[in-house]
Amino acid sequence: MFLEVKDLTKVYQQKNVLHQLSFGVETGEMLVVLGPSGCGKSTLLSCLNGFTQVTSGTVRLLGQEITKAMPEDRDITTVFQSYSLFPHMNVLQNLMYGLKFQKIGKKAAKAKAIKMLQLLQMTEYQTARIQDLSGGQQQRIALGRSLIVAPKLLLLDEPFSNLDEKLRLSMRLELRRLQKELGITMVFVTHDQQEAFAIADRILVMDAGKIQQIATGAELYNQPKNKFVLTFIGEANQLANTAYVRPECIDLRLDTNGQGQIIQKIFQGATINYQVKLPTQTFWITRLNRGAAFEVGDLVTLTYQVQQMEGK
Amino acid sequence: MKRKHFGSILADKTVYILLSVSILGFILYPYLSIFIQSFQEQGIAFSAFIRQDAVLLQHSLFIAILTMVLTVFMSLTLAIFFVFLKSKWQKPLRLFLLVTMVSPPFVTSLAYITLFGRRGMITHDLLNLTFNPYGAHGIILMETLSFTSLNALVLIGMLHQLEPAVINSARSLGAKSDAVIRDMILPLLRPGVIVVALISFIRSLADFQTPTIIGGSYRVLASEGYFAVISAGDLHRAALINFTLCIPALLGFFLYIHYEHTMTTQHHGLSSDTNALPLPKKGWFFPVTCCLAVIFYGALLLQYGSILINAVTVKNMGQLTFSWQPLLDSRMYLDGTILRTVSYALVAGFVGSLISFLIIYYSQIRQSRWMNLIELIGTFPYILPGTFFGLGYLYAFSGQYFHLTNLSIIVIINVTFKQVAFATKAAKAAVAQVEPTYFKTVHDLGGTVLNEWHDVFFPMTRQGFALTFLNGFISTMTTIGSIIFLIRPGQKVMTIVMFDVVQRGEYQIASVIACLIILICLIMAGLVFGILGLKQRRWLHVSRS
Ligand SMILES: Nc1ncnc2c1ncn2[C@@H]1O[C@H](COP(=O)(O)OP(=O)(O)OP(=O)(O)O)[C@@H](O)[C@H]1O
Ligand SMILES: [Mg+2]
Repeated sequence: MFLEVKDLTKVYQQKNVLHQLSFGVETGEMLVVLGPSGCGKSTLLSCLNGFTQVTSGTVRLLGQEITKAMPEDRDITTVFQSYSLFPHMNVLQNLMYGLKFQKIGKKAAKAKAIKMLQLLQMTEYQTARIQDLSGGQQQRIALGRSLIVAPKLLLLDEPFSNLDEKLRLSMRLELRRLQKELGITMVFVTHDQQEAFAIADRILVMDAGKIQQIATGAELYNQPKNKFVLTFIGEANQLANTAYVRPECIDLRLDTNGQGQIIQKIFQGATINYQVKLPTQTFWITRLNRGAAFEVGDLVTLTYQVQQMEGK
Repeated sequence: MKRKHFGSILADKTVYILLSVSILGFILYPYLSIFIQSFQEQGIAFSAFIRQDAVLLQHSLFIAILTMVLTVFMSLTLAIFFVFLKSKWQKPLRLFLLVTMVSPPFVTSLAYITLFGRRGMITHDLLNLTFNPYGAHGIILMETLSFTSLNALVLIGMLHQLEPAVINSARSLGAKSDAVIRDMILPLLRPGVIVVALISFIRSLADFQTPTIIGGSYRVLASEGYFAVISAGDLHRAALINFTLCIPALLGFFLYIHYEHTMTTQHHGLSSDTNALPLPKKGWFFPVTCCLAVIFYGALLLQYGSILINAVTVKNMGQLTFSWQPLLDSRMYLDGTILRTVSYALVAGFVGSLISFLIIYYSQIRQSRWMNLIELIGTFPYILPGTFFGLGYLYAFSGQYFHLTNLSIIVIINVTFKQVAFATKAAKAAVAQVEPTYFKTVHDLGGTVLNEWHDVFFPMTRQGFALTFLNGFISTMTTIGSIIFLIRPGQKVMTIVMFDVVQRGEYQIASVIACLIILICLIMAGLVFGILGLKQRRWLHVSRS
C-alpha cells in the first residue's frame, strides 16, 4: 500500500473530530475525500501533511511511519484552498521555490519550471507578478508549484471551490490530465459530489469524522452502504427499512385506473421531476424530457424494482 | 415634519463649521504662525544658524541613524522570536511590551541613571565601578530600549496579518525554519521594517528628554531647542532648530505614507481560517533571537523593577528597606497635579475622539472633499515633532492679539487637538466596519442626520470609540513635548513634574510619579476593557443574527 492510515483519531479540546479512520491509497491513485462541511476533511489532510498533531493512530508512506514527522520533512506537498502563492515572488520564482530544497542546480530548476509552465499552458506568464494573474491562473500556478517538486503524495483541499463553474470544469479535466501524465498519487478533498465523480478513482465518503464508505463513484451510487451515503449522493425514495428506489429507476405510465396522481411537476431542462402521490407515500420520479410529458392531476401507475442497502 | 428637519440641518451645519474652524484654528494656524513669524522676526537667519550649529545637526543625525539601525535590529529580532512561540507564550510577552506604551517616554533614562549612574544601584553599590553613563552611547542605548517595544508590536501585528497558508505552503515544499524566515517572513515584513525604521528615526530626532537627562555634554538639536526656550527664553532659536528637525521628518513622512500603503495592500489572495503553527525550534535564527529576546526582556524587567523598588524603598545604612517615604515625599510635588492631569487626559481623550469621529463621519460617510483636507491637516502633529506643535502654540496664542497662553485651557486644547492625528486613523478603521447601507436605511425610513449619529454612527462604532478614547487618555497622560513650553508653574501635569524632578536629581520622587502614571493608565485600560467586555456580551446575540 502506498499510503496507509490506521486508526487515525484527532481530538480538539474534548471534541472528537476524527474517529479511528483506516484506509489506504494505491500508487498513482486519485482518492477523493467527500463529505459535508465541518465533517473533518481539512483536519484529515492536515494530519497527513503534518500541520496537525494526531491524537492517536499511524500514517505510513511507502511503509515508513511518518506520523510524527515535521511537515517540511515529509515527501508530501499540499495545495491549500486559498491559493497562498508567495506575493513577493513572480510566477517563475514561485514555481522554483520548492526545488531550492532539492539538490538541483539553478539552471536545471529553471528549466523544470519552464517545462511546468508549458504543462500548465501558461508559458507567457514567466515573469508576471502574482497579483496580475486571474484566480484560475493563480490556482494553476499553485498546483504547478506543488507538482514540480514531484512529491510522493499531493494533497489538495477544495482547490477549485473559489473558481467559477466553467473554470472549475476545465480545471478538473486539467488536474486529471496532469495526474495521469505525471503519475502522482493524490488525495483530493471536496464537498461537491459532481467534482468527486468527475476526477476520482475512488471516493471516501465521510460524515461526522467517520468513514461511511470507500468505493468507486458508480459503486457508491449503485450500492450505497448506509442511509447517509444513500441520501448524500444523489436522490432516493426511501421505502421500508433498507429498501429504496432511485427516481430515475421508476417507470411511469398514464393509467386512468392508476393509484398514483401527479401532484407536482418541475421542469429541469434535460429532465423533468414529478412528484406522485400514492395511498401510502409520495415518490419523486425523474424522466427524460422526451416525448409527451405528464401534467399535474394525471393518474399514473408506477413500476420499479426495489433496491437494498447493506445497513441503516 | 419640516421643523424637525430644520433642527437637524442646523445641527449638521453647525458641527461641520465648528469642526473646520477648530482644526484650522488650533492646528493649521499655530504652524502657520511659527512659520511666518519666526522668519519675520529679528535674529539670526536660517542659513547662518545651520552653518553655526552644524555640529548639533551632525550629532542629531548620528544618534538618529544609530538608534534607527539598532531599533530595527532589536524589534525584528523580537518579531522573529515570536514566530517560534505558541500563542499561549506570545500573549503575556506581548502584554509586557504594551506596558511600555503606558509609561512616560523617559522612564528608561530614569531607570538607567538609578542603575548605572554615579550613585547607581548596580555600578556603585553592586560593582563599585565608576562608569560614565552620560553621553552619546547612553542616548542611543536608551532610545533603542524605549522605541523597540512599540516597533516590535507593529512588526508582530504584521506577522499576524500574514496569510498562514503562505507559510504552510513553504513548509510543505520543504522549507525549514531558517528558510521560512529568510524567504518568507523577512521579505514579507519588509514594508513594516521600513515603517518602523522611519518612525524610530523621526522619534529619535525629536526626542529631547533622553539627551537632556543622560546626554551629559553631548548636545543634539532637540535638547538644544528645549534649553533655548527654558533657560535662554530664545524662541527664535528654538523655532529654527525645530524647522531643521522638520525637514527630515517630512521626508520620512512621505516615505512612510508610501510604505504604510503597501503594508496594508500586500495581503493577497484569499484568507483561510487555518492557523500557522509555531515554527520548529531548529536552525540558527531560534537560538540567536532567543538569546537577544531574553536580554531585552531582562532589560525591561530591570527597568520597571528598579523604578518600582525606587518608589517604595529607602536606603538605610546601605540596606534597602521598604518604606512609604518616597510616596509621602512626593506629595508636596504632586499637590493637585494628579487630579489636573487625569482631568486633562479625560477631556482630551473624549473630545479628541469625538472630533475625530465626526471628521471621519463627514469625510468617509458623507464623502466631503473639504473634510478630507481637514483630516489631512489634523495629521500634522503626528508627523512633526511635538515641541514644534507646542512652539507653534506659543507663537500663535501669546502674540499681540491673544494672551491665551496663561490659561490652562490652552494646554487642554493642545493635548486634545494633538489626539486628532491618531484618532482619525483609528476612527477610520472603526467606521470602515459599518455597512454603509445602514446610513441609507436611516434616511429611507425618514430619519435625519441626528438620527444617523444617534442610532447608527455612534452605537455601531462604540468599541472603536472607546479604544480611541483610551489611546487619547494614555497618550495625554504620558505626553510632554507639545505642552512643556505652555505650562506655567502651578498648572503642571505629572509628566512635567517628573521631568523636572529627574533633572534635579530627585530620582525617587520621579520613580513614584512614573509608577503613578503607569498605574492610572492601567486602571483606565482595565475600566475600558471591562466595560467593553460587558457590553460585548449584550451585543453578541444581536450581531450574530
Ligand atoms: N483548531 C481547531 N480547534 C478546535 N476545533 C477545530 C479546529 N479545527 C477544526 N475544528 C473543528 O473540527 C471540525 C472539522 O473541521 P474541518 O475544518 O476539518 O472540516 P471540513 O470538513 O474541512 O469543513 P469545510 O468543508 O467547511 O472545510 C469542525 O467542527 C471544526 O469546528
Ligand atoms: Mg475544510
